[in-house]
Amino acid sequence: MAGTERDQFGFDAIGKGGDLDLSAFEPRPKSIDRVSADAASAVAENQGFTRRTPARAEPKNRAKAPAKPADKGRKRRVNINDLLGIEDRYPESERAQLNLLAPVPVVLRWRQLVKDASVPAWEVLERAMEALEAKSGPGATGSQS
Amino acid sequence: MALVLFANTKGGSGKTTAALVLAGELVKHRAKVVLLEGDPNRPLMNWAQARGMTVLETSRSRVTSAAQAAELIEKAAATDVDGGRLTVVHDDDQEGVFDWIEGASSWAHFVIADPEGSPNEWLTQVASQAELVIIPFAPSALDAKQVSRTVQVLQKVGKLSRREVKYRILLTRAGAGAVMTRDEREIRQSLEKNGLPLMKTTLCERPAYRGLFKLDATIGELPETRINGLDSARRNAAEYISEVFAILKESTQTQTEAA
Repeated sequence: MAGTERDQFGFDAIGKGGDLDLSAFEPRPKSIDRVSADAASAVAENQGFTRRTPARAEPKNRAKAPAKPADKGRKRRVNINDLLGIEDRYPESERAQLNLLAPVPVVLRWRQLVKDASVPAWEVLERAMEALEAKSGPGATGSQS
Repeated sequence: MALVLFANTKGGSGKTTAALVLAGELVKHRAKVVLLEGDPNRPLMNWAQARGMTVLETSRSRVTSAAQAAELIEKAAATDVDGGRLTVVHDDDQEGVFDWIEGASSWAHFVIADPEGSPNEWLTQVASQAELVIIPFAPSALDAKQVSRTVQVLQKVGKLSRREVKYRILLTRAGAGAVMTRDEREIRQSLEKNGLPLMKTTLCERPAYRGLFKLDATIGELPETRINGLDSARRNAAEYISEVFAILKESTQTQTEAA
């Protein structure tokens, strides 16, 4: 691709010497705007925009991993709390899923709270409920009449 | 460095063609350009490989920092047929897209991003960092709804991050004849009535734009003997890049003044 020849359409009038004036776009390290990136992720989630699935081509000559012999009597599932040495305060309780819709700023605030607390999300919820109950008395977080 | 994203949640709007025309013209004018592809159909990757260029695939070239990405981009550019001024990065895992943008900023004048034509998170993530989002729009009622959706998403990202996401609508695949179709006329009127920023240039349906992928070339490289109406296409491309460049320059000046 020739970059120095004159442009027959007069485009070389822009900038100097037949080239664009690139001075405003000189390469220089740019930092990602994390606030905008988080906002974009929240909007994507809110709008039902999907996360791309990797479309990786499987290497043709990849050798198959040898099949592992089945360990008889070994637990097939591991509990992450066991591995991390965290006591499960509700060992007998089944887990139920809680889905809720909230305004995006509230969701962002929630995520930040969970991230900062470095504990499972349900523990943050539990602490919030305890704080509410401490303020207004037990049952304050229950049904309102 | 300026990041330009071509965004439309619908496929077939002319995103990749518009991105490639812009990249080719910028390189012709001695700018260093990274084409960042987020489309799993890999049109740009295939185009570049057919030209013998080294394409960086993010799942194969894992990076842990922007500096690493910058180093890989520079090495790949050195193998390029365009005198080391164009590199194609195919992002197929999304995890490191920000590292690649940061890395590209140390090397390129322009990063041109081409996402998949679908509602996907990659599009919004790159839009959140872009200096300009161009929404290619093949004027039909079906496409109009998706353009509207894309604009709304950009506005939401801007509102939530308190940072304006600058965008322009680019009519593509319009008839090159003097007579405008009724659909196109009504769509133009509607855009104007609603204050949506429409670019003055239209990328019309032309053999030259189809030839980019048929001959794996840029507009400047297309042979006049094989492409009809090449002069008109080149004039059209020159007007287009001129307008994009002016918008970006105005945006940079505004940012500098604000700082």
